[in-house]
Amino acid sequence: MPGIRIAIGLLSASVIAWQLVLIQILSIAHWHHFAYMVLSVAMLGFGASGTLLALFRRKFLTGSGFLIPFLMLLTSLAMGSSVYLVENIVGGFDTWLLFIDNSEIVSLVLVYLLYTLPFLTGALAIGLILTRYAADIGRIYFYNMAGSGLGGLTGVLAMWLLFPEQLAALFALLPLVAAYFCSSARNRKRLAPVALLALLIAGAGIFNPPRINISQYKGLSGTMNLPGADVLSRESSPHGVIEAVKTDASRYAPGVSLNYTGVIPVEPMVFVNGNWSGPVKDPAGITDDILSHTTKQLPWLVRPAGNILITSTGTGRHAFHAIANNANHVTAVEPNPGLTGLTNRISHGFYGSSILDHTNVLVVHQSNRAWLNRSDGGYSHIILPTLDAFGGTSGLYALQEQYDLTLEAFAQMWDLLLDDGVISVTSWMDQPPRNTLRILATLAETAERNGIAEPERHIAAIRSWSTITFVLSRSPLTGESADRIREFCERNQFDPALLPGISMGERQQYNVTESSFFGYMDAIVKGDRTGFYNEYLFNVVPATDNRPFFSQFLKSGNIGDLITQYGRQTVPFIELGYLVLLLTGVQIFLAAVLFIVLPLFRLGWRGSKKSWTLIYFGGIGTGFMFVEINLIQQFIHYFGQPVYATATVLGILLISSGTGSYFSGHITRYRRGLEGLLLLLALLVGLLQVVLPLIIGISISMPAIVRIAASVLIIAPVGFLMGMPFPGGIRRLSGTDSAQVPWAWGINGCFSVISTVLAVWLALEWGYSTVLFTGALAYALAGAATLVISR
Amino acid sequence: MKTIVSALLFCFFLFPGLVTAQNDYQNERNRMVDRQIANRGISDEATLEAMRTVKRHLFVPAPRISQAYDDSPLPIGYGQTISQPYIVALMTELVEPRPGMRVLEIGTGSGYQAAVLAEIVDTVYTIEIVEQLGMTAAGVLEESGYSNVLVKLADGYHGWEEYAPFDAIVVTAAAEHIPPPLIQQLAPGGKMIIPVGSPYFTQNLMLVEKDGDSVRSRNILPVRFVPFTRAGQ
Repeated sequence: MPGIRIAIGLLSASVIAWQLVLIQILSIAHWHHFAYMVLSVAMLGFGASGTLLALFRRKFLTGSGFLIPFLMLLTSLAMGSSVYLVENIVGGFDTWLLFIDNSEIVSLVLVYLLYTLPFLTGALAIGLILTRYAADIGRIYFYNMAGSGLGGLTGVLAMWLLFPEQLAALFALLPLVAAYFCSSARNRKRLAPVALLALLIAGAGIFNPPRINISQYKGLSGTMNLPGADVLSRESSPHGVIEAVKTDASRYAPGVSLNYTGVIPVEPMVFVNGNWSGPVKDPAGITDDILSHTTKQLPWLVRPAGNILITSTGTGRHAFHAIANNANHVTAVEPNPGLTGLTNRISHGFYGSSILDHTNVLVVHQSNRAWLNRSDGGYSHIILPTLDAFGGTSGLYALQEQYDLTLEAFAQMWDLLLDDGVISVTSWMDQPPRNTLRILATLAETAERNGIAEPERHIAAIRSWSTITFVLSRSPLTGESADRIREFCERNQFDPALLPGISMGERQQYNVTESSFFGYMDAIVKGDRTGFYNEYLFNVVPATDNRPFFSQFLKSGNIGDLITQYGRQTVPFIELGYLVLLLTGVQIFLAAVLFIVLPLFRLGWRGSKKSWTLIYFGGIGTGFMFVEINLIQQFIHYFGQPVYATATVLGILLISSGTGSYFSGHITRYRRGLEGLLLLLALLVGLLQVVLPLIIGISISMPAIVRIAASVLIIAPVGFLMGMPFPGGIRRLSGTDSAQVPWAWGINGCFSVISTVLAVWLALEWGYSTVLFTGALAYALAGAATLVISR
Repeated sequence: MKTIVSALLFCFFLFPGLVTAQNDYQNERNRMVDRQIANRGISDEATLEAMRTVKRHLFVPAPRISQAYDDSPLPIGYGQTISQPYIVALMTELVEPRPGMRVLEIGTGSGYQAAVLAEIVDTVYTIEIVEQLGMTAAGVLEESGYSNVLVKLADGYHGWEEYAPFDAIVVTAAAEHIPPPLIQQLAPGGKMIIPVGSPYFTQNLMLVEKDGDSVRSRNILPVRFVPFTRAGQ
């Protein structure tokens, strides 16, 4: 018996850890949006396993002594081999080609199914253990949940030591050990060949891991195609895989003046998860920084440098520029310590020193929002990283939460400025204009919210052929600074785009663009902003903490108009991330029906009060996933990193809901226990909406241990109650209508799977508060159905 | 007679690719020019003729030959694409190519843009940084008889000093900066064209014109991209 408890603990740990590793692998190969695919893949595996268990319960139980360790070994095999099979046999898939090449859709489906396998076999083994050892359910649950929590922690910690592609194989060893613990001597002998095979595959994966196929359209892939490309260093951490690459041709001079005649130096470049992060600058070049010949010089023209705050410092490019402009002190905030560490090492190796070691530079390893929360302020300049990428990203970041670009973040920045301090941000010029207009709208609304009646007197912008830099000044722009800006533009053949008293002729002197662009800008700064928001084809309303998707511009109601303008083939590349989410949603829906619901028709749906079974188990499945997804998304703000957020939320939620399941028997003893529980849950979930932002706001800049403790306080009570409705409902069915139990499993699984994508979509369209509200509503609906139907 | 007709029909239905291949896709090219290019306002006769002449299907990867004349860009590997026919035509028209001109292209890619230009101007100098792409393009250009196209495998940043100045420069592999040497190698009154956008969404073209010491840029939107507001603000 102790063997089975250790086995289920190890297996549960492996499932959660592997899930986190998979999120990292997909982030490296693709972009952020596939993190939600992993959650739905896991849910699909669990849902399908429940259906299988319901269908073949008797057969499975008869052979469970052999089947449980066998399923664990299959889990090990699937975990150890699926990354290899996806990367080397299927060849992965490319997000960019999903809408170009039908074979990519086939590859996506294959990848989806291959990654579902470990969850299916693992969940089947867990389900079978819970069923077979029901008498010892208390202890079994404890090991199950404790294992899951430890798995989350181990998954994150291990990312500091090994690369994700190795970890996928390393965590395959856990189910192997688990199988050993729960096998009889006879079964150990019978299963030895399978165990040996699983061991060999895991070993091969650790020592000779498969190479992840990074999208050919990612920055790292393009750089590796350049002559002389050489990876100088590759490091792993929960923040992602960081790579420094040297080539004979990589240069950085965003939108440099067309009359610049100097040399643009070749520099090593740093990438995080295959995405370009920045160049490593030679500190010796500080006397003539190339950024001084770009629009990024604007903030230094408005007022002289004092104490500077740089957010998302990366490789320190903006810190370099600040020092070049005689900054007294630079606070360089970077959430990823590995990034600054590697930059320092490469810089010392190449140039003998590093800008991040400069006596005037203080590097702070914290999330930007945490620093904004705890800083004493007094900044003359706050410099943000450049928005978007040259040529655009086709909306690949539409699903990425960007808490540093919300109105709340800008309000904090405003408070930290000196009375004549400035916030500056540069954006690539995009067509159709979206980033440029949303950031301008954010600056204008920030000014207005701080009592500025005429934002146009506080905002300046200058434009090159490819970039535009904005400045928001706390005090009105002076005539002297406007003169300096005009003189700088003339010298570099840039055009002022926003300045007090600007004329249309000034705006189009050197770089002619659509004059409508200036009409949009004027409407935002001094015209009918709300009317413009409504009329514009894209959503350029500022992002908020409730809806922090700065790069999501699609108004779904305008898709028809966009197709008319751009053509059916082009439209997907306006907002690729959003459409991939929809595509994933369709696939998940089909898979859930195919693998969870359809098999149940073999049993037939008999019994009474079917509508209760549907509403109750659908409601609690939806409610659970909506709360889980919402918590993960909001905790990304809290922990500043998706993997930390996922590990914390999953760990606490699983342990607390497991404990709740264990105690669920107490609730169902009462006559109206379930109804009361569900209504209480709906109320608590609704309360989270108010409590969560408050707690996050108070404790975001506190040490990690305090934030983890606060997370337990927030999540555990709700999680505890969330664990009760499912076993409670099953118990009620078992007593009165046991033929419907398999359907209850299936419906719950199906709704849970679909809800993973639905929750993200709701957050994109209406914000997190709507997701939580809908989650609360789902629980309330299940409670009401119990009250009305199930008497 | 019946037998012959049946055999012809059999060939037509079973081997449509073969029948099309025999006419070298001329019909597809004519249709492409009429519907996708002339219809969208490209009127320069030399450009239209070049688009009708250059066998685009030779420049796309073999598995995508059937899509060669579609109204879209196609992947050619290494994160690169062969541009949508309309964009190629628009870029060609915008540099106002004429016989006697020397044109520099940065980013050979598939070689298709160079071939279109080579139909009109005297010499096209094209530079590709990705060795595999450059080699493949050079081979196709040579096999297609474009002896007036010179291909160099190098970093386009430095341009091609030896043959400078150029009447026009086409930067198909756009970088986030325009290398100063390219501006210097552009002849007075010369034009440089740069498509700006992500791989499958060319959002606009940047036309850079050099007039003495002054260098000005003009943002040109493909015809279908305006307006952006319902009210046409």
